Amino acid sequence: MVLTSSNSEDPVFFEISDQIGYIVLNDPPENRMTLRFFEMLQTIIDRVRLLDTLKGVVICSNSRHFSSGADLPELTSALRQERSADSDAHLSILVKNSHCFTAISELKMPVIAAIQGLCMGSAYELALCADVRVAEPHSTLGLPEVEYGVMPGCGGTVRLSKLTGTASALELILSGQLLAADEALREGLVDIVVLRKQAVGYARKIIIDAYGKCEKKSIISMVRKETGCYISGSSDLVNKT
Amino acid sequence: MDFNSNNCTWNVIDSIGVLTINDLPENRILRPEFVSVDQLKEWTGDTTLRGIVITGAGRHFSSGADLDGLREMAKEPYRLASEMQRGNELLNFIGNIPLPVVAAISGICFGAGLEIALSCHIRICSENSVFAFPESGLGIIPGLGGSMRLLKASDIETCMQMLLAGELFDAAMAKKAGIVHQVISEKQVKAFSIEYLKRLVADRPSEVIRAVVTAINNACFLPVDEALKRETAMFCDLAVKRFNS
Repeated sequence: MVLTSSNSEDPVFFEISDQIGYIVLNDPPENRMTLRFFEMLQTIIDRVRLLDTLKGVVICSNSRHFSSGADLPELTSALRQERSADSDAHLSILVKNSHCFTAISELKMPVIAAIQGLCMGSAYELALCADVRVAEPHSTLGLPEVEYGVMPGCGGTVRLSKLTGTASALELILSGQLLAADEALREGLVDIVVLRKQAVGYARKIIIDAYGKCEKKSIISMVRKETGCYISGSSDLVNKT
Repeated sequence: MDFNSNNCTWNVIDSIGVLTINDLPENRILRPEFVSVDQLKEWTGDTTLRGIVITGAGRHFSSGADLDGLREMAKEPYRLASEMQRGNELLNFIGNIPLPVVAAISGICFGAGLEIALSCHIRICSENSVFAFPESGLGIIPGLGGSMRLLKASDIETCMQMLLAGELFDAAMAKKAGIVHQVISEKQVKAFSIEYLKRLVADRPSEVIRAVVTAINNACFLPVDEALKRETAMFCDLAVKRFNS
C-alpha cells in the first residue's frame, strides 16, 4: 500500500484513512533522520496527540527501507555549534529529539511500527516507541551506534532493556550487532514477521482487532499469543494480560 | 595481582576483573556483605578494566547463606538488620558497576548465592548447574532483593515456583525461564565467561563501554524520564568527543 501526500517533499508526513493514522517516512532511499525530519515529526505528534477519534497509528515507510537512522554528522555538527554558542544549551537538540520519541511512546492510542529493510540506530529507537513491531522478511534491525564510537541517544538503551531484559540489551548494544528478521523475532526486537509488503496491512489488522477489546499495553501480548511467539523472562510488559 | 578479602579473591585477566567467592566446598555466604563494599569499590575502580566476572571457587557457585551464622545474627535483631542492609548495598553496588558483569555459574547456586548471581547483568552457567531459593522451606524469604531481581529476570510463574514452592530449576529450566542467558557444556565456565566478555567489548573505547552499561543500569534502577535524560546527556558527550577528534 503506497501512501501519498500532497506534501510529498516532506521527509515525514501524516495521513488518516478509516480512522487509522499513518506516520509515513518519506525520504528515499534510506529515510535518513535529519534535523528537519525530527522537527516535522514533532509537529505531527503535536497534532496526533489531539486526535481522540483515531483507532491507532501506524509508523511506516514509503520506500524500501524503514530508515537507516540519524544523520550523525549533521547532528554532531549542530551539537558542536550549540555548545560553542551557549554551554548551558548544549543538550537542547538531542533532548528535543528524545522528547519527540517519548511523546510517541505516550500517545493514548495503539502505535504499530511496520518495518521493512533497514531499521537501525534511531530508526529502531523510533520503532521501540511503538507498542508492537511488525517486520518483513528482509529487514535488518539493531542499535549499532557503538560502531561509530557513540551510543543510542533517543531512548534505545532504556526501551530495549525494558523490552528484552538487561542481558539481551547489553549484548545487542555493546556488540553493535545487526539482526535479520528471524533473529530479531527470536530476541524479541520485533513481535511478528509477516510476508513481504504485508507489514502495513498487518499493522492495520492489529489495530482493528484490538479496538475496543484490548488495552494499549496488552496489545503486544495479544500479538505474541496469536503467533505463538510468547517470550517469557523478558519484562513485565510481555507477561501482563 | 591477587588479593584476599572476606573469603573473596580478586585477579585481573586481560582487563577482565574476576571476583571469586572462595569458601570451599560450597562457598557458603558467611555474611551478607560477602566482600567489603569499599574493597570492591577499590578493585573495580581500576580504570583499565573492561568487564567483570563473579564466580565461585571449585565446583559450585554458592549454596547460599550460612545458617549457623544467620542464627547467631538473628539473636541481635539490630545487628541482623544492619548486616542485611550492608548486603543490599553491596548487591546494589554490583548492579550499578559501569562495566558488564557476568556471573559464571556451575553446580549449586542457591539462596543468597542466586541473589548475588541475579545482581549481575548476565548469567552463564554449566549444564550441571542447579538453582533454587530454599528460604521458604526454612520459614524465611530471600532478604537481599532476590524476589525483585528474580521477577525482573524471569516472570511471575517462575517467582511463584521458586519463591513459594522452593522448586529446584536445572540449567535448561533456568534458561527457559530467563534466569540464565547461556548454558554451556564446557567445564570451564569462568574461562568461557572471560572470553565472552572480551569478545563483547572488543575494540570498544572504555568510555563507550562505561556509558552504555551506565545507561542500561539507569534503565533498571532509575525512573524512566531520569534514565532517558542521562542517556541523552551521555550520548552528547560521546558524540562531541568523537566527532571533534
